[in-house]
Amino acid sequence: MLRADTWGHWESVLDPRFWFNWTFQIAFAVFHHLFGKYAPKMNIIETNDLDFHYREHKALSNLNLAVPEKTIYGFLGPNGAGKSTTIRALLGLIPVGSDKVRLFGKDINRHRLEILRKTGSIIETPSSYEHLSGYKNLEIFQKILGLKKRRIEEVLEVVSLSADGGRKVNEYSLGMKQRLGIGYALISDPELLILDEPLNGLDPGGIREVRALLITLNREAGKTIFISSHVLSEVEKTCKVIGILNKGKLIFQGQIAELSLELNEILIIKTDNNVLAMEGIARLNFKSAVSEDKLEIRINSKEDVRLIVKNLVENNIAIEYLNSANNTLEDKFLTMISQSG
Amino acid sequence: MNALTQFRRCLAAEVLKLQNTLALAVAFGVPFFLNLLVFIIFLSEGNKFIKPGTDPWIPYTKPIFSFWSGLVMILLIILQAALINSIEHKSNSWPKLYSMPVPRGMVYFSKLTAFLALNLLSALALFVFEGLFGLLLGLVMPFLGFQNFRFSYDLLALSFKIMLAGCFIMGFQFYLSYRSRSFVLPLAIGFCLMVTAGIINSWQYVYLMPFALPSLAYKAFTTGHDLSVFSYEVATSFGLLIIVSLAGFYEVRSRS
Repeated sequence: MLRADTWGHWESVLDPRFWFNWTFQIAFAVFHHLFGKYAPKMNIIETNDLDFHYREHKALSNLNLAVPEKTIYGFLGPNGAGKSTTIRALLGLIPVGSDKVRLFGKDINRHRLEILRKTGSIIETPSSYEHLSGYKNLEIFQKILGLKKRRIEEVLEVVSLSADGGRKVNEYSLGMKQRLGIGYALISDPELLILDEPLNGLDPGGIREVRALLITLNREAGKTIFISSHVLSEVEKTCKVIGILNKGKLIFQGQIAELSLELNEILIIKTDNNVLAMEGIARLNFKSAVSEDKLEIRINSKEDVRLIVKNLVENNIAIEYLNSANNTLEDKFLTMISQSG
Repeated sequence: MNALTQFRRCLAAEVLKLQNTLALAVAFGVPFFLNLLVFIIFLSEGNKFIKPGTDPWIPYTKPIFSFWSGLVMILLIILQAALINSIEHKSNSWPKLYSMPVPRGMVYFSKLTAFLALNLLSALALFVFEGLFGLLLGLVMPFLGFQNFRFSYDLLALSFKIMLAGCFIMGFQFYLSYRSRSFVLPLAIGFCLMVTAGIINSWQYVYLMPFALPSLAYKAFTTGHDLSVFSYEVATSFGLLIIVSLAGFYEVRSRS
């Protein structure tokens, strides 16, 4: 914030402009420190009505992604939804129209190399040269990017592979290969990480390690991370913002908290006459379903519980069991996928 | 950062990838094996091929260069092209390479240069092994007279000439292997073209077949028809290499 050249020569302290400049800069620094976090975040990734066809098959349809800077963005979708195609489009690996994909505010077609310099990625699976050691694999990227050799050791440490850097990659476990893949993405110390299914095939311990690494990179190094995944629970634990893709269409995008707000609670009731109870509940405009011998009713508030119980009592239906369960993100996700066709 | 620096960096990465690979092993192994075979033949019945008092290096190197130019070098090129590209195909690393902040054409040309350099090393290895095995023959069988005649640097020139006449085959096979994930397909195409070149070897229009150029370059040298390294065959092959490489470059640039 404070520029060194403001000092200039000592005589400049007699110039009122000197004091004005200093006052302004200090005020700006204080303001930024106090309120910077409230400043609107720029979108690091933006797609504008992005379409893509593989021959007759429409892989992406009017995709409008908006990934704010310094967030972890979870890109959810079932297999074949178009996640990898989207990532290929983001990295300029497939042809897209002008201004359809913008990273760092710039069109991928016109500024591809400039954008890629600030981006680290894993595409589909982390690819390693298995006949070489982890260290040598990183050295390949270090050489291509013209980085200092010590960066290899730094990256090995970040991905917890310092002790295994000298071993050939074909001796690595899947988790180690995934971490090494993240290492490739990190070697240039990019501002943006685009990771295609980085948790694929990892055991619970490996998932926890990679999740912790991603959170650290986001919180401590301020990196924007775009992760595609179908491991819903991991996205829920790692990401602040998510996008849900189904059949090439974005069916939800926003803060994960927004999606949680939309989650309904489920009231589980067992009565002596479930058929009659269901009819009464339907009249109150609640959606219900019979599971085993219990009724599952979607409710939005505690007031709804009161209404339902009152209705059952008025109809002389005895309540044998009553409980509630939270609808998980996974339930919501599956519902959204099925509803979107 | 200029293109040359970028190219140098990519080439250094390509050289690193060759470590512990079969591509590197065959670059030296095949010239060694060919020389070893001829050495064994001369060891068992060298006196049949070498007349007393004549320069033994000529009859000794003749079968080596003959097999090398018409068969072994072409097979080596076909195999090496497939091996060097299989490093990427096997590890599925093309998308990763293309998502690096490097022009796609640079990836293609740096790999092609590493491949050409490997072939250059093979040509050099052929010459070095010829000299070493010849000297060994001279030690084991002094009556053959290897020690009495100079190991000519013309043989090095001939080795490079044959290699340069194979430039088109290198560019062509490299392109095929770069494009195809299949290891076998480029091998099969290359093998068919090599056999075709062998069949039409005595046809008057054989010079139209680029796979026959190394063999023609060897013939032109040994018959004294064209002793220069940069002969018709080399110029034709080099020109075709440039065409096929540019075609590969443009195809790779526009490829998704």
